[in-house]
Amino acid sequence: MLEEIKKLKEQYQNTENDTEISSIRKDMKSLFNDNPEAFTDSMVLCMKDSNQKADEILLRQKLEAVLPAISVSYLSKNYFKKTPQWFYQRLNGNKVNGKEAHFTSNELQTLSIALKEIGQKLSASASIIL
Amino acid sequence: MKDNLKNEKKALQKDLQFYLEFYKELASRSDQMKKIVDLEIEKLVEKLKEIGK
Repeated sequence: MLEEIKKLKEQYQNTENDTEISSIRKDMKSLFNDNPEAFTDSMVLCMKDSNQKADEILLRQKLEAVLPAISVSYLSKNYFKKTPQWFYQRLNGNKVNGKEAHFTSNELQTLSIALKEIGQKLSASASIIL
Repeated sequence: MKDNLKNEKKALQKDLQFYLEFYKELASRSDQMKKIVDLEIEKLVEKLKEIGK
């Protein structure tokens, strides 16, 4: 059911054609009538996916202002033991081995700690100057 | 707003429109399901407001 709904959602995203939209609505109603529980559960999973995508876009938007000022190479190596490419793949949601790469919740926590620590180091350096 | 970000936001707006099209079916399952759906939709709406600010 989930895969069928995802496919219909993708079709819906890529069309402005009224006939096609009507056909998608009809297919969706038919899926609902076949199995209302599986339909609603799958739609909630799709909503959670959309919210996760929105979170990733917001994270990227926030980091766009910060990353040019710090070394991504240092950040990736010292906090994740990975390469900058690995970091950017996750930040941009690039496909790796056919699957979109994302930060795990543990990696996001590490990123948050890393940015706080780097910020503290910068503040400490600034306070030495003046 | 950069083109890439604009397209990503547009795709999420279409997602939201898709969920709202079938809101009646989703919310009719149970009060608990209606609460879950309302919460997910509300979160998405708030995030869409933030994207591109």
